[in-house]
Amino acid sequence: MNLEWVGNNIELIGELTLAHLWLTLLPTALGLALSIPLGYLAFTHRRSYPAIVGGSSLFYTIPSLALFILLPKLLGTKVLDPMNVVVALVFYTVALLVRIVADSLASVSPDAVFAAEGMGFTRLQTFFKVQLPIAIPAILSGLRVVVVSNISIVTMAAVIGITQLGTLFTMGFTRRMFVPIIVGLVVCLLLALFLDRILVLLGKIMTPWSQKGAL
Amino acid sequence: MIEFKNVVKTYDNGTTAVDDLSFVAPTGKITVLVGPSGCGKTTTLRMINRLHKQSSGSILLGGEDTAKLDTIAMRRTIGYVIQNAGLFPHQTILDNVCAVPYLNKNDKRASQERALDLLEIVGLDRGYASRYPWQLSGGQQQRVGVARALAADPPYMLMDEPFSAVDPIVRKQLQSEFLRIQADLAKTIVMVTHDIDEALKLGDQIVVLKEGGILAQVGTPAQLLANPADRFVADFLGQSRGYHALNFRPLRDLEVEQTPQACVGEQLSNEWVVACTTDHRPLGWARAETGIQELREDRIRVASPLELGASNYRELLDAALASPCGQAIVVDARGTYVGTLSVDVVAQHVRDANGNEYHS
Repeated sequence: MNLEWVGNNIELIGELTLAHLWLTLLPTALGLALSIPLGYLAFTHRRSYPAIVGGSSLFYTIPSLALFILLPKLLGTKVLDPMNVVVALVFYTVALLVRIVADSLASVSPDAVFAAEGMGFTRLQTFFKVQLPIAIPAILSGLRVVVVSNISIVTMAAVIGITQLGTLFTMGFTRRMFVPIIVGLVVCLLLALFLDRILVLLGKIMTPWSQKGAL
Repeated sequence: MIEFKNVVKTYDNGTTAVDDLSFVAPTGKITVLVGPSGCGKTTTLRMINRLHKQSSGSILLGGEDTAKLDTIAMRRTIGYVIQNAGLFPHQTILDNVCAVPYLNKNDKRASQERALDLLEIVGLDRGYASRYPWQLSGGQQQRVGVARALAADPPYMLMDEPFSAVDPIVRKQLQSEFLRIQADLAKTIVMVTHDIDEALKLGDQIVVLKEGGILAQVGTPAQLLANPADRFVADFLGQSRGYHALNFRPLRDLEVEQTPQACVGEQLSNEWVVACTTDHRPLGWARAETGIQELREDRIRVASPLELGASNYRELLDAALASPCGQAIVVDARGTYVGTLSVDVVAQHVRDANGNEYHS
């Protein structure tokens, strides 16, 4: 083990971490934004549930490497464009979150929804003021899984030359060095723990009403 | 006034939930829809605020056809109370009560002030305002549900089995308090219950429905009890129909018996006397178990006296049945002992009144 390498490359590690963070958070946020209407659709139209939830889950079975290589052809982007990674991760996020959103909405007390309708809430008001806020704890706990999974999938993008923490793995492999690989692993783990804590904290702030403190 | 005109509700599979229903829920009164399960009473209620839409016929709200009104705006003029309160778990009690005023974009401060007043009206301490629904008992949540329905001061209220999810003691309390509130507010209320006792206690008018949503009878509780339209209504009113009917017959023009009274320390014989305080307020019954004894407090069989001008025959029967000698103790409006009434008075009344085809 040569810890000197870490000291010499601390700037590189910092840059890679930031890139990794960005490549994880942007697609997670976009995927969440897409999953909410899709999940609502699957929840309100029970007949569409198998198609929407089943269909989107299928995305998850596509190997990430294949997707990274295919997307430039489909999107007309350059091979080295990070947008390919973002789009691929949006797919994976939607694949996991649509089911979670649909099931979280289904777990909201029907009494509360029924009361809202009867009192004169419009559909939109019922969704944004009643259903979505009550579903937040369940959606957030699903989001925790998604974030951790995305952090790990992003590393794969190193194979097609998108720089982030995964770059440390390919670097260690080609140069026959252990330290970059270990550093990459540890930072990924810390990043996952950090983002998970942030989500838990966010949950506590957003759901002061929850009996168990949301998550 | 809420008026049903030949309302029919059929489902796609051909079953009829409500069949040619017509009745009027008068302004400022409580109309109770009652019947066995599957009689379409809840469907009937939900057709008023168009959570269900009738297949044919019309429902008029204050003379206007609900099908022609804006549904959302109309619902906000109808307070809605459901069985398990249906509070929003993510909002404080205060925000729950303010739900409709917020939707109507009413002044926030004024709405909250009114909400706090409403909490007191429904018998909850203002301190509950900042709590969340899960921190309240079922009965307390139901009180909040009633406060929420009243928040926008709607002229109408729909109540779907509002008191059936709480235990019998709390239910009785809620029912009594609800009647007290309604006496002040005089809303036009339609309520659904499967509990005939609740219907008889709360209803100014009762609409009895049979399976398949067929109207069996409409009338005041006293009319139903005295003259059920058919065997179905009579059976539904139950075995205590005759006993219930006494509720609607006030004690009038009766001569009380002058049963002797005695104070603590006086001598008792083997005759029952009314034990009183020195200022003639009755405590209960007493007599000597053997020979002649002194009246001590622990020898008094406690009894609740009836107030002559404010009681009915059921209360008289109850008091007489509960006393050791078949006599009810009667007081005047100030609580001073007047005399006693025998259980025979009830029997005589029943012979006279029922024989005369009693109508009230």
